[in-house]
Amino acid sequence: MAWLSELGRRCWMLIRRRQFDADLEEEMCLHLELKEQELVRAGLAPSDARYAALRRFGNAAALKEKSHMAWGWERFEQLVQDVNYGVRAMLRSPGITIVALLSLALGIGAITAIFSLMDALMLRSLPVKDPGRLILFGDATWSGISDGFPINQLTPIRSIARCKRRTRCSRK
Amino acid sequence: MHGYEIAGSIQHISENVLQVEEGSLYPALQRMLIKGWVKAKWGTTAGNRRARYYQLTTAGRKQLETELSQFERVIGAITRVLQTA
Repeated sequence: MAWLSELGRRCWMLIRRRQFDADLEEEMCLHLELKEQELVRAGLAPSDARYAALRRFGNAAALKEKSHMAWGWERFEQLVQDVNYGVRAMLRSPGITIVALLSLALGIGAITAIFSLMDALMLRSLPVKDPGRLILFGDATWSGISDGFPINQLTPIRSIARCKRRTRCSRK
Repeated sequence: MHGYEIAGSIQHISENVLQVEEGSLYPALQRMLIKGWVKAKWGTTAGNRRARYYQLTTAGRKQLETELSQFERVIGAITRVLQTA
């Protein structure tokens, strides 16, 4: 359950990240000011105190970034930025965008049409039960369609099998 | 306590032995907020300034205990190694 509430907190931060950054900024400012006041009380000149406080605080911008990144959304935020940038770049040159979109659409459409035809003709197995047991019956050139057999020779296959089982003679 | 007080008290209690880069406290606090080990509330300081006050939660206390026992184990091991040397 701990991970669930953690996820909740992370999402909450994502929604309110502006506020979050402002809070952090305010917090760090207060820290610096209080430190400065403390150093002034300790006898430093006010201008020196400011720099001393900053030195002891460390790289504020980097620390802010680190705090922000701790919430684990930087990948997502970068993605949003990239998409934003991409859309703006496309809107800047609409002609090229339309040509690119059209060629993509036509290309994908054509490929899909060809593939669905080939899929139905060559890849998909026939819609019968156990298609592996189908046999090609008749002259191969006609792909199973043949009128080379008189009707009285076309004994139903099942009865041939029964006959074979009974006599076990066909190959001897 | 708010951030400045926390940094100050670390320095004060350790009698100036532990002087961390004070700002690095804030990313650490954020990580603890995510884990739910501390919770934060805005309040006003003695100087009438807005500040974020942090408080340890039950989960945080439990985490502290496990970390402490881990730490004591390591310190104990180091001490034993040093004694035999």
